[in-house]
Amino acid sequence: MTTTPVLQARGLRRSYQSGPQTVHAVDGIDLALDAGEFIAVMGPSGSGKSTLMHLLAGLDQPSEGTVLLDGDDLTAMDDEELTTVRRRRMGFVFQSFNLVPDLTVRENLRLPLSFERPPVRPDGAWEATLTDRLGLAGLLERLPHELSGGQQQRVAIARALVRTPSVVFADEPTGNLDVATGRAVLSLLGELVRSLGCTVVMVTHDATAASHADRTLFLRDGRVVDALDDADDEAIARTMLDLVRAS
Amino acid sequence: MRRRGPGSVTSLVVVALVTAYATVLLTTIVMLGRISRENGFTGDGSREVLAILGTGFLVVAVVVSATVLTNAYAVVTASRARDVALRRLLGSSVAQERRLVVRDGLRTGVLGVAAGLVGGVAINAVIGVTVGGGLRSGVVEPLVVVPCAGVLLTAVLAAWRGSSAVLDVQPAQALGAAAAVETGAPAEPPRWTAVARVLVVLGLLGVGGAAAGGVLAPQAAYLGLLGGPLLAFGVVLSAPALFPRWLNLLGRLWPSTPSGVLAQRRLAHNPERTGRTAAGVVVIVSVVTMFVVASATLDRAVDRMYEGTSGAEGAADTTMVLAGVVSVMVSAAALISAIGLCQTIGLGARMRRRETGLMRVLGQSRADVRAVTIGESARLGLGAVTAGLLLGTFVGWAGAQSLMGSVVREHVVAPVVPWWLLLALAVVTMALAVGAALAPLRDNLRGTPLAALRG
Ligand SMILES: Nc1ncnc2c1ncn2[C@@H]1O[C@H](COP(=O)(O)OP(=O)(O)OP(=O)(O)O)[C@@H](O)[C@H]1O
Ligand SMILES: [Mg+2]
Repeated sequence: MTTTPVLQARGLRRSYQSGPQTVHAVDGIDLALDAGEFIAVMGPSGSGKSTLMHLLAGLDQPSEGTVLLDGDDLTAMDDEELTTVRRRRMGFVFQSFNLVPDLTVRENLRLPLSFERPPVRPDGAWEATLTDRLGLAGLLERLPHELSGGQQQRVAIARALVRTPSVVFADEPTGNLDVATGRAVLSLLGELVRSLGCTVVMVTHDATAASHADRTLFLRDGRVVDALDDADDEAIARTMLDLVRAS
Repeated sequence: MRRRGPGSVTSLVVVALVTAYATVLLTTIVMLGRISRENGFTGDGSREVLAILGTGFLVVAVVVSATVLTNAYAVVTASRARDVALRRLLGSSVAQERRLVVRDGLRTGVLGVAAGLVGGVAINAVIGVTVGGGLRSGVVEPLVVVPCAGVLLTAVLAAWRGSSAVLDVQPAQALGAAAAVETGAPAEPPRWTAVARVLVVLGLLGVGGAAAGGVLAPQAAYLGLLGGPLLAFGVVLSAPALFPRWLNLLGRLWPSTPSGVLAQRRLAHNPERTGRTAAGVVVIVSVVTMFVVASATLDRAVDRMYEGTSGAEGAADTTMVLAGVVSVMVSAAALISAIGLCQTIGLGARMRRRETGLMRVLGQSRADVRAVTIGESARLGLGAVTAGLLLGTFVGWAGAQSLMGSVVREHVVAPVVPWWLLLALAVVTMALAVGAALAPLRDNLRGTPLAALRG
């Protein structure tokens, strides 16, 4: 059985000119992610994790190579098309500053719907399920500054899933949380995307976080240097350690 | 870390402008007084009217400058939250940070007053040469020391008040993870202070009293002459407390689209700043409106008295001429409040950079990003212009009523509001408000959403 990958990268490169020298932040990466696949991206600081994620999400243009989402070439789209794709087919969770400070939790949750012209009516039942599962039911009228860090990240997750996107991108989603809260948030993310069949690309520094993934990619100097399937946190931590020692 | 930003330049320009204005206005008033005395014009009250009117304009200009300066320091402090936070993290105290801002206020004050004095004296010299002999001796009027000292004090006080934005900065914000002040908790509107209330009440009593007293004798107009500046002062002090409510009220008139809701929320995020930004505009718009409405109303009343007879021709012209003269008189204050409006809106839009980036990542179109930011400025401009027009129409009518109430048969004159006035003031204010947001908006939209999200 062959399924077409949801997200595919071919020969992806991204270089920056900094003074006389060229930095290859992403230096030739090929990837194919199936529907429902959850991958973690790890690597030392500066190894190109965020750059890769931004390229995959169409937030940055590669110097070379293509990115296909459900077969559509992101690198050939203009700004407007990319905006629409992000709104309808992608979800985002960042490390911080995920929520618009002047909007309530409910309004933040509905942002991707409100950006449609005309605005899409929220699906009440789905919204209720989502907020229930993420424990946000009692917080909907609050403003972001009235939430804890973990609650804020849960709102961001709910928002990322509100339109059941093809892919969810998460850049260190638990980077600002304490260990226990981070784990709770990640379990929720893992459970939800599995039940929805969303593909997830998560950048992380945390081996425990990565152990929630089906596959962990290890980056160094913009290249995938190792990959582990269904690994536990110890195996991931060991691989990371070897990677850091080797460099 | 930039020590001198666009904020300091704005403050310097504002201080210099108001000083030059005070110098010219004061010298002119004193000289005109001297001339009329030398020529034996006494007792017709025109000197007193001129003095009161001039002082009124001066008070308005200084008060408007004070709000603009306070806002400038508050906005600049807020936009430098990260620098401040970093220094706080490295051990600098709130008092030290505030002292830095106040020292900047003092320096700006001294430099600005000096520049303004030089400019004012130069303008006086030019007027002296063109108008002729009588004024030449009055190039430097010693009394100018009083407004200069007042402006200097205003600058320092404004810096002190504005520097209270330091109190909102937490050292942790330097750590980058936390966002800037702008992204924190929305503030409650400030209380309507007792001083502001008393001034508004006295001002309204004066103006209302003039209108009512006009039924008996035109001398009632003096009451209005005293009440007007008090009211202006009161309006400026009341704006932080009252203007946000006015905006809320107006906000109900718009359809509540998601962009509109966000624009409205952003205005409410920092009610004190929004109110202070609007204060100057409200006062200037009402002063201009007041004169034009008063003169148009007077014209109509006079026309009706002479109905059938000739002489109604020049009425519209007089109104236009008066509008011109008043524009010159309020030009300094108008310029200052325009600068204040543009600076606050501009810096405010700039501080939304990260938020804009986030929204774009989440799929907001460029057009909608524009709609929110422009909607925010347009609502602010419209709120200020409508408040000013309403207030100015009332005061202007009261002035005309006080002069004509005892003359016309019905004892009450109906206010006349020329439509071109509404249009001109609305267009100018809206153009300024929206225009100020355009450059930062373009910056925020340039490049990838990521670049904006990173700040
Ligand atoms: N805008 C840019 N201009 C120049 N070089 C850049 C730019 N952005 C990233 N880089 C470089 O590209 C490389 C990869 O950066 P990237 O942010 O992807 O790393 P990362 O793996 O996410 O690191 P971290 O774990 O610290 O977040 C780094 O060497 C970085 O200096
Ligand atoms: Mg990164």
